[in-house]
Amino acid sequence: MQNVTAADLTPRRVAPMGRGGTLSLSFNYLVLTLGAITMLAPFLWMISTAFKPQSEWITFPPALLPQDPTWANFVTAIERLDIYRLYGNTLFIAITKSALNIYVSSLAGYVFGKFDFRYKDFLFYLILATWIIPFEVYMIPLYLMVVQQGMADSWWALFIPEMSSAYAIFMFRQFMFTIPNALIDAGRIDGASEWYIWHRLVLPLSVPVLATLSVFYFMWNYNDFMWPLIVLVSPKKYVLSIGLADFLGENGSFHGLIMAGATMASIPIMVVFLFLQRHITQGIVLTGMK
Amino acid sequence: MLARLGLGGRVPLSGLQKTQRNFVLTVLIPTMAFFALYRIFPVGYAFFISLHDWRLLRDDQFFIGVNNYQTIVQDPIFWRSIGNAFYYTLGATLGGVTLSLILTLLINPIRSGSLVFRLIYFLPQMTSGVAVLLAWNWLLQPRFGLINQALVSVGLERINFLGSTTLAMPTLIMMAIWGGLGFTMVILLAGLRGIPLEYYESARIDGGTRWHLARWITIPLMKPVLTFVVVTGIIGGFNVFGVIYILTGGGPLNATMTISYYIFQNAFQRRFVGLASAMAFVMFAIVLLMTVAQLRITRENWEI
Amino acid sequence: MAEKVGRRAFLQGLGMAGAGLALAACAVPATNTEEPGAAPIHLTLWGWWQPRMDVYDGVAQQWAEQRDGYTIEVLAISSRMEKIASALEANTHPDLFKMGEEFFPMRREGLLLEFPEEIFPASWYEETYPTVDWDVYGRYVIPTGVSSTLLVYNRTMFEEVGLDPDVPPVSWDDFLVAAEATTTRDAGGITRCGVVPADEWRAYNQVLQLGGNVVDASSGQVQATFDSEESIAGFKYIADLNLVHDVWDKDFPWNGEAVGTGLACMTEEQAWIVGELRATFPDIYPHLGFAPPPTPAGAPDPLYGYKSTVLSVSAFKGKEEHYDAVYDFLKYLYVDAGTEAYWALAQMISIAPVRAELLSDPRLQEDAGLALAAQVLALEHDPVEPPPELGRVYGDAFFRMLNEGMAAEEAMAMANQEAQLLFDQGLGAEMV
Repeated sequence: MQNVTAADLTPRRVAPMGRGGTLSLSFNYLVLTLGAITMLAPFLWMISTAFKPQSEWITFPPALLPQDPTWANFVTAIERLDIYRLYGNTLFIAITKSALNIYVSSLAGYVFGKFDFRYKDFLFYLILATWIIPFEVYMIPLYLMVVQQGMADSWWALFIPEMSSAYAIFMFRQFMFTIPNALIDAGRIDGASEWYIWHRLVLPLSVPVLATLSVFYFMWNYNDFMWPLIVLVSPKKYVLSIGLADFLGENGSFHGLIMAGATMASIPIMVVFLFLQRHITQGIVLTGMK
Repeated sequence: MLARLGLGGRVPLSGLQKTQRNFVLTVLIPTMAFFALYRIFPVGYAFFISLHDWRLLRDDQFFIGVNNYQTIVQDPIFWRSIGNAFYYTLGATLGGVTLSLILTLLINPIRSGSLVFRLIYFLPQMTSGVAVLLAWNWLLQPRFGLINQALVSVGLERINFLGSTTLAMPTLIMMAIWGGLGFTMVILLAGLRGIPLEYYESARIDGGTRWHLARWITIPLMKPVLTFVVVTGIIGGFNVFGVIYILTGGGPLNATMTISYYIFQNAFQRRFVGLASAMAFVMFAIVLLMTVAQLRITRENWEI
Repeated sequence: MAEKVGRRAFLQGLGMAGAGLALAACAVPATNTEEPGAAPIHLTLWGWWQPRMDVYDGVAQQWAEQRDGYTIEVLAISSRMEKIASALEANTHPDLFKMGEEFFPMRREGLLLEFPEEIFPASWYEETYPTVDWDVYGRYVIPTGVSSTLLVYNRTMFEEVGLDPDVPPVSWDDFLVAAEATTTRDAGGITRCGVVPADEWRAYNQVLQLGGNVVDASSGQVQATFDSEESIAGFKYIADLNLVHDVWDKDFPWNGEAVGTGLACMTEEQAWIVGELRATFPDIYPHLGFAPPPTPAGAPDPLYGYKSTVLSVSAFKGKEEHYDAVYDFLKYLYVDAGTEAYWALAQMISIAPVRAELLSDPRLQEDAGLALAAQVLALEHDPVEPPPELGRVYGDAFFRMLNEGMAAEEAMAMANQEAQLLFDQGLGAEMV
């Protein structure tokens, strides 16, 4: 942003309001509270149903709270959904995939940001251009390649084609402009190797962009659906998203069971994210503002 | 020549220090090999496939030129699916940004409880997307869902949200808006806080109403941020898939068939990968046009 | 000079990149390789509907226990049809597959493994399956039994409204009377449906009962006849349950769930519904009665409806190193352990068994559902191969009539076009 003022950094003392004054803040609260209820309703209804026994799933009129709460849905869902394996698979895949991608991409971003050589811009724009290729275009060939390279039904098929990405390279290259060249030059004069400069001088200064990318990629990879649906065949290798979709298909009439599965898939990760929310917010702001 | 076009640096690679050159090559060659192999080559391969009567599970594939393209041009469901993708994308993006802007303007002046509100609005982002869809599916059940029972209890007609050709798509759009509000609000709020307070002060002295302040100060100054969220929303929305796969399967009567789901269906359910690749290329052309248009619109506001 | 060095460095780097990628690609199959002989052979069998797959799992684990070095995994995967094409292309498919309507297209495309003649000689087949036409299924799958259409009704609800639960409706008129009597309503509309029709092949029974059909295969080429007089009348009869008689709310859950939770009194469905109701809705199951489907005049003239041959397990081509184990398993399933497993399956989903030993089994007469199935089957039509895509044509026709208010004639004309399109693509080639 062009004009950064002190007002950005200190808590706002005066609300930007026209005539109407502070009284009308109650209107703000009213609308925001109604909105918040809308935001929470699906989650609350999901949790409430998850605790209901079969006889209470469908009632006239609907009971907001279970009359006779039970853990039975959770017990069955844990077993049928194989939820612990799904957690493990999903976390491992999301973390590995994000870390690999960010590390490989950050190296390229650094090279494009801090070195000068012929064809540099051409290569950079070539990579950037791949950003706009819709996944649907290269999905089918990628699938045939994955098959041919023996990666079908293995997690390699999730990792290898996402080893690097134009977006992460772009974000990192942009960030490199904020790191002074003098720092890198000083390192070279001291006789540090290029890898040392990268790992010990540049990377530690890049924590903000690394954090942003980590959060984004983790969120995207955690919810990835289409590609795992195509390449993962064995239920043992499933991730949470496709495991849940299959769970719905097999147990369509067991509403409480489905909601118990959905609760277990959503609440723990929500708690983790609550602790990270400051970083997430900062990350989003960083991308948005740049 | 590239240098003359302004595409390349001035220094040849060999002009760098040997250690630097080795570093650059060690990084760049695998990177370029990756992009060549997993991004650029597949596009060529996809085009090659699209010129064939190519089926999964069949040993021989037959070259048929542009036949697949002729087939899809005449396929009404294909055009419907493109139209639906636009409908979904524009609805979710414009609706989401408008609503987020209103909520942001409402949340900005309040002090106590602001964090709680922001967290609640952000909840759908912090969880499994499929789980959220399952929750909505149950909430919207046409007869016994909470929403329909509530409608009946206040004397209104029941609505079969996902089972209606006219309402299914707006319902999916509503879910997308619900899920994306928190994310957009965070960005808009940051943008809003970047506007110097003095602008408002002077406008207030001139007697501006709340609407005037929003219309003449807030919105113009937030234009770059608004453009950013609209552009990223449109890029992200066009290939909507998971929600269709889980909730509607493209129905009823293709009312929610989007291009992404139609390609998946043709490629991996019907196994016509040649036809699906041709569809993907038409989709690519459309996305390219959209991107060029966006670049034109956003160049002044949002520098890459 | 400088250029030369550059090129050498370039090639050096390229080599490294190539090696890296090759390594990545090679490392992958290495992790999946199964050493033949040394490592155990692991088979997988996919199907759907957990209670049924549990029966298969019982047989499979017995088989594995009796053998060294073999393991088998039985899975219920609801998205199996989305996954199977890509899995077959990649050779990561299951060895064995519980077959549904997809059997015929898969067989036509040569995806299935032919059972060896030594294990399943024609003479064995003729003895064991005297009523099944060997040519229709070939040596690629063996039928579990034949499923019939039944009327399911809630006896307790009948009693409550003063109907005799021992006299289920036999004509369309009786059926409407019972449906009207058992429907309950409040200000918000229907709270309990008299009837919820089946989701799949809805109204197909009614068309057959009227002496019609949705296809005409007499010319040797399958022609859609959704626009025939009988087809229109059959579809209209079901649609009118909602539009005219108001005994069915189309927003209620699917028929099994509706009857199973007491939200509906009656439905007409293939016999597998009996197993579904018993396994999933044990509270309601004891209240249910089963009867032949009602017909226009109260007698099957010419038919009660349709039946379908339920298929068991096929094997896929592709994993040569597993073939011996697959054949051994098929022999165990179909020949050695088959009879009891098939009895369990037949009972579970109330399908009439077709194995010779079971046809004369005294237990057949004791199981009311199976006895009824045997009675109805003789007067039902077997369409052989309705393609799964045809289900969408049925669904869309009803959607147009019920949700869009389209006239039956117009909706059926559209359905006919859509169905003909499928047949023109070669789907449903064996349908009759």
